[in-house]
Amino acid sequence: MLFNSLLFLFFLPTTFCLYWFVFNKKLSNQNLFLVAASYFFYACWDIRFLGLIILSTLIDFFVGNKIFNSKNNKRKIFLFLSIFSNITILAFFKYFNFFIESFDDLINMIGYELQNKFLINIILPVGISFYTFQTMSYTIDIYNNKIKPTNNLISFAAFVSFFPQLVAGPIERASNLLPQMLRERKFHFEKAYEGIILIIWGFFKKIVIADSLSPIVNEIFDNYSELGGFTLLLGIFYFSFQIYCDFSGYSDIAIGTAKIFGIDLMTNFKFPYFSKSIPEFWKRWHISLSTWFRDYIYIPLGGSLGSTNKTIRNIFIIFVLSGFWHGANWTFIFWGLIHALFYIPFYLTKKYKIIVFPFLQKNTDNALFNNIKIVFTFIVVMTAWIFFRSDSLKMSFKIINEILFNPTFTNILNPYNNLEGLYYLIYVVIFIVMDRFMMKTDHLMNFSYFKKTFIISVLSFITIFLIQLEVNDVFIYFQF
Amino acid sequence: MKRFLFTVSVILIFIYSMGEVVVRTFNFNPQTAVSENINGYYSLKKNQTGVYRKGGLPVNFESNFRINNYGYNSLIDYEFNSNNSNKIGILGDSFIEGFQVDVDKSIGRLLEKELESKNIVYEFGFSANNLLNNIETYEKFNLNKFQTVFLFLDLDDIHTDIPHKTPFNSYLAFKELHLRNFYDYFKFIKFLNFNHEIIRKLKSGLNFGVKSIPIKVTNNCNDSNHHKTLLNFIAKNKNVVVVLKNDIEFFKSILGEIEYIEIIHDLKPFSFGYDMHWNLNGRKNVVNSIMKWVNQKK
Repeated sequence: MLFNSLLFLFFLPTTFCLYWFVFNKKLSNQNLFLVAASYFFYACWDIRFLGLIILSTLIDFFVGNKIFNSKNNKRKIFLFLSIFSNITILAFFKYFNFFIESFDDLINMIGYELQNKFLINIILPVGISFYTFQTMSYTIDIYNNKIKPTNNLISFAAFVSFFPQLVAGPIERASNLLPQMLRERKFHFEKAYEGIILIIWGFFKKIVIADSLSPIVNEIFDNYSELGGFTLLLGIFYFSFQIYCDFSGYSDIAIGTAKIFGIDLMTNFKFPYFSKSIPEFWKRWHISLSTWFRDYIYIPLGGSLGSTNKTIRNIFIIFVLSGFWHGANWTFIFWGLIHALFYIPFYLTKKYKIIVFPFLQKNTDNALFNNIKIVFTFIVVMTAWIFFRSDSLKMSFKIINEILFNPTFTNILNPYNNLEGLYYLIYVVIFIVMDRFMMKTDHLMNFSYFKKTFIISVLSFITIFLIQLEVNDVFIYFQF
Repeated sequence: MKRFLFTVSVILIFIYSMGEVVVRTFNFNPQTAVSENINGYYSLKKNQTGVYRKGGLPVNFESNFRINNYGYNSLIDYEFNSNNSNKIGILGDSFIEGFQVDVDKSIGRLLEKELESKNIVYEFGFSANNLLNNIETYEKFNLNKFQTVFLFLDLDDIHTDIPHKTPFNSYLAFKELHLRNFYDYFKFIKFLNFNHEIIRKLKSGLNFGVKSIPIKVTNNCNDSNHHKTLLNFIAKNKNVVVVLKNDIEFFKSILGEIEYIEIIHDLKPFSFGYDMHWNLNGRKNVVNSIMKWVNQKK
């Protein structure tokens, strides 16, 4: 089920009413209802893959208890079992064909040709990268003695499958979400109202900004070989805002929805395009994934505690893995590498006071100077998005080549309404102002009740009025 | 909880009130042609006029329609008498019916302007009509007496065993009897439903309500060999000229030596985007393509 579907418009109030008015007497009933609602939510997408979630839930529930009750090597074996089963599911559904094709390419490079490629037609189960990472964090945390396992299977199933964040995150940690599933939940007006604000802001970002930019971005990237550099630059500029509004919109709707059910999810975005450096960007972008990699890959590898070479190696590993997490394509790996390349100079500065970008690495309160830093960081992020959005490395390099050496403007129309491509710059400018406003006001939380209500009423009205006809795009991160 | 429900209600009331104001002030409210029940099937009520609107922000279109004495969207009424030789017919689906551009700029009217002789063009366009519907229309109105009949086709139009007919079901009856009045008061709801097909999506998404399914009717065109039906029809009726909307390569392979007109879309954009029907450019492209064929024939 999509958040931006009519079905969700019925599902959410129905679930809300049943949750608070019918199943509110007993925690176990409330959790059982959450599991049922979440499975229904997922089954609306594709019932065939519901079994995978249940399998992953059962394995990690039992393995978690086994790790806790075992000693020494046995703990390691059970942890391995948990990681192996989750990675196997993920690898099969997401990376099988990639590895076969890459192997084939390698064989071709050394002069042989494989006659029968063993490729299979695999459907990627939606949300698989999110819930497998979530359940793995549970068993790893038990192994590291950070949390204790639960004996309540229903609560654990509710933690794994909680519908707002099931298919596109935030990737929750057991230490945050599981205790909330195990304790009685009371309705709080302030929390629920904050939830409503986040839901409306999320829908605005998705429906008004991301869906409006989506057709023109697709048009530009589908015809990239015929377009001049400026048009391609416009396309990648729009894509930068499309992906941000699409993904952070989803996260806001998820966090907001969870809040009206009395549950706090972790923040996933903190206005990343106002970052003054790449390290800062990664503290603000897809926080649940970047902290997952930090806690479960980077730190176990030694983090920044070892030699400089080791630290640089670790930085490269997490960025490459982060790229690979998004999909089985070299373009995602390059996306990760670009971020690593611009991350490392800041690490070197911190450790050795080596200034790689003298102008940009100086700390100052000067507003102009800070704005230049924000723009520079955005340009780096935008460059990396070229790889993220392209179908192949060849396509990425062709786009970069056109932008640098053929900066001409080719007129392009939005195929969904024949509006000029440049028209959407208005949307981006308005969005930047609004995003800044939301950042300054902490999502309107600093305002009075009346002011808040007025602003979100206007915002929701604009959202309804600007729903793009015939554009009902799924969320980009559903494919990951 | 009470405060929360109250706040949500306030927001909803605010949104709705603002919606009504904006739709009424900026005249975004669409009008659709009144339908009626003819022999159990959906058809348009004869002799009516109105303004068809779709969109809203950031773009919308607005066009006048006129349903004539035979239930077709056309500026002129039709007369069938012995003197049909100066008449040209156009058979097709919603692309010919063409609610999206003013009725005085229909393909027929544009074609009349281009043709030097005093031809009158009759347009028999009806939403979802396929080849078998068009054959029925041809026979019903004896179009073999017309000078030329342009038959607009794409692949979907010929891959069918039955003519498309929409039953005038209880929902349509309810819509005409009650919803139309309801929409006069609640224009914002109509705006949302018309632009976003909320009721249709709900019907298909939640799987309730009656679907508009083609109903098999008795006719002599009903065979499974779709290509043969088309070829026989063209062979039998020499005044029919096929105009291809799409799928040119496919039609080339089945039409063989038979003449056809291919629409060349030189003027762009030729559709509205969010509504894929031809805009004025699209219609001009159609007329230019037909005129090119006419001039070659001279």
